[in-house]
Amino acid sequence: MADVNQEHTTPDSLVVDRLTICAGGRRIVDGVSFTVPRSELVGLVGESGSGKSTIGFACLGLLRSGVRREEGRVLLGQLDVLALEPDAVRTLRREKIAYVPQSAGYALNPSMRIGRQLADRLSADLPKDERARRIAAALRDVALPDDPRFLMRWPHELSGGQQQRVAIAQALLADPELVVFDEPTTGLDVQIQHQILQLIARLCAERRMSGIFISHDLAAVAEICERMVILRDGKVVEEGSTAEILAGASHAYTRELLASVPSLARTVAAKAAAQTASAGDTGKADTVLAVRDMSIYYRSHRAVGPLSLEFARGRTTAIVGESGSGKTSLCRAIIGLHSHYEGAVALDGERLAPRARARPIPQRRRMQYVFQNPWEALNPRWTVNRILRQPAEVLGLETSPGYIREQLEAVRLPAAYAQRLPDQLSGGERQRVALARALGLKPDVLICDEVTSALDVSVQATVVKLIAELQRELGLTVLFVTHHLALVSELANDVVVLRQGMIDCHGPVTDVFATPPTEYTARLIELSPGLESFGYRAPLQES
Amino acid sequence: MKRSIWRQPTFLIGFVLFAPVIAIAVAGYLLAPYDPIAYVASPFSGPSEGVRFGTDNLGRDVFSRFLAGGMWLVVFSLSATAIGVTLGALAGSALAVVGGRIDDWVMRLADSVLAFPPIIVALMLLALFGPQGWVIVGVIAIGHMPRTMRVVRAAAQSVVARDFVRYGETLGTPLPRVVVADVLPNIAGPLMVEYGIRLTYSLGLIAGLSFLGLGVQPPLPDWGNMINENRLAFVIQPWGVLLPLAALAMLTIGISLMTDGLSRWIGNIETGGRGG
Repeated sequence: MADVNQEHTTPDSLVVDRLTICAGGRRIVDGVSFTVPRSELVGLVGESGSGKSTIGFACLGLLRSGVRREEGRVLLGQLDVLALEPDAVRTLRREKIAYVPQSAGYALNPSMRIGRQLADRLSADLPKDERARRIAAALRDVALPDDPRFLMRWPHELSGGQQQRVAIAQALLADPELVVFDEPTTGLDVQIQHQILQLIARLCAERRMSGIFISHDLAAVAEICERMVILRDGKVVEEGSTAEILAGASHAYTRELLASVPSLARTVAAKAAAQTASAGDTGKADTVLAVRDMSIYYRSHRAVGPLSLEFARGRTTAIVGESGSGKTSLCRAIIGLHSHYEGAVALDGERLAPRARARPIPQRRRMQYVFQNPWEALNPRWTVNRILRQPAEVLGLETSPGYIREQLEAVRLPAAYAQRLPDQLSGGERQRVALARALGLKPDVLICDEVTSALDVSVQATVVKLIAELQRELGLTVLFVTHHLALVSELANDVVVLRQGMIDCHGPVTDVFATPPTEYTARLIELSPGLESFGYRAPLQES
Repeated sequence: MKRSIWRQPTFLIGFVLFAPVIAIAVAGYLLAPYDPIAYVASPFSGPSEGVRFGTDNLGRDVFSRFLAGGMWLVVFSLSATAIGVTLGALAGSALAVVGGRIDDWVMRLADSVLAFPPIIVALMLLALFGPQGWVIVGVIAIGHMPRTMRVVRAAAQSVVARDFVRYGETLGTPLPRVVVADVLPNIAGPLMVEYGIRLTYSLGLIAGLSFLGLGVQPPLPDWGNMINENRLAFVIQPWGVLLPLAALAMLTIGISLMTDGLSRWIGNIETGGRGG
């Protein structure tokens, strides 16, 4: 009823009207209303648990088992999507609404060739050459090759970006009115993410398709969506046009969310100011860790190098690059997880054995590693207490009686967490435990491998802040691997840009970002998502 | 440990089937009304006053023989399973951690052991050494090892690829510790199922050997040889076959249900989910 009475010349494509969804007695979506105008993209923004994916699925007429609609409707034209018979839902999904999943790598059937997988989306009644023609057209639309050789490939033979394009092509084949994009760019690196976002924006405009873009990445949403809906705990916190929200968010939570998006322009300026204030702190270059003439191999393929790098004591060096640029390989070689390399790693001038197991205990203690994925990094069967004790036990070192409490305190977690199992912790809390575990033995060098990429934006901000604080308190030398340039500017003193296993440039963050020495680095910086380019002005921060 | 295992219905039903049979096997001989090798009444006589389930081919009390005949079967099966699966699991997870060339070679060796049907090997060795307990246990345990190794290695490989194992590697954690602390607790579910399956196989194999006369030697009673001795008169005096058969069936079904319940229970207390 809502859409009929409105004076829009183009009726809304989708209306979500006071939608309330319950799971196990808890309201996971609570009275959410918004509209998606025809041929516009609406961003659904929120942290994990905000109900954004549940709403996205509800628009497809899909509720997980155990989840129930309590109230409200999802209207596509005159159709109440959630009240349809199973047959009608299938028709709806085949003809009107399509879905693009978060991780195309998982969503594509690994044992089906790309061509078959795409053909599956089309009606079997279509003549063969008509199907081939449509598939070719969809592939061209997403800028993929449409030759038979590509159609014969398996999903695992494609890059992450290509997989995501195939998933989008799959959605396009149905020629839908509305597409639900569920975090389609999470996990892709900056350049690919930018390309996919541009692709989505272009397709929606060309085909007069409307879309719901679910994301926790405000910068991505700001880049392509006309409107956004900010969600928190299943409720709409704020809704409006992107420009309005960026120019002046009315709700405190939105402002907080906006402020936690790391931004290059903001922090580089702040850092430059801070550095001129305390000039001369870069003077003493005391190398703690050095990599000499290193080439890292996987079987006979050289993935990294040859390269040489030095890391100065007490400084944070960011290692930046796209996926496949060798940043993780480099860190693994340094810590002793990947031993198939030429060249040498030296800690305080002492050459290290390639395998961690072969290194003497003091060397193992002095370098510590924090992994990318907090869901994988902690043994799910161990309590936090046991996890934190592991390094000391394995290395046979004594710890003080208050050790666990101190470690938890250091990463700002309550002491009661010692008794918890990892699955009773959130992603951010897990990453804090991983940090506490690494810092317990007072290492000199801390290697952080993409430690924030699996976390929500606001959680990411707190973890980065924590690492920066601990770095200062403990005088750590930090190697911070990331593909997120804005984080680099917030955290690091120096930056190393890797490109296809070679050093593209290396220098202090302020210098590199102010005047990028190479074209490649300049392009990376230009593509780095931040909100400033979309009209957001950060409130003034205290230094 | 959120929920007691006893509230898992599959496990409970399994236990109800399993426990009485084990109790009879272990302590049944104490309740036997007659000496299991003493002559009681004429052979193959049906149930009567005092001889509740009749007599067997040599006129001995079926019920007494049933009560006394499960001990070795159960002891041999349990020890063969415990030895075979435990060694196989340790070897399998160690191989998953070590990987590389050693892994390749040991697995090829295991494959060649797999190629011999265990029953044939058992027959051969028992013919060589005579029907002795340690030969039976040893042959069956060795028969289990390569199979368990394969299953456990596959399960362990997915654990080894996870970052918490890699973290242990950065500390230089010794191999036995990685296997015991990191790998085994995280494959507890499949490992329990493996124990269950191998236990039922052991029971079948050992009862089979005994049926063929290669297990516990007459006149001592055993469920396997009881079935052989009494099968000729199955139509007129079925109890000599039915009792051991029922016990074996209850045991096998009970074990399967228990391991099913156990692995489901372990799955439930495992990581609930991963956000999103």
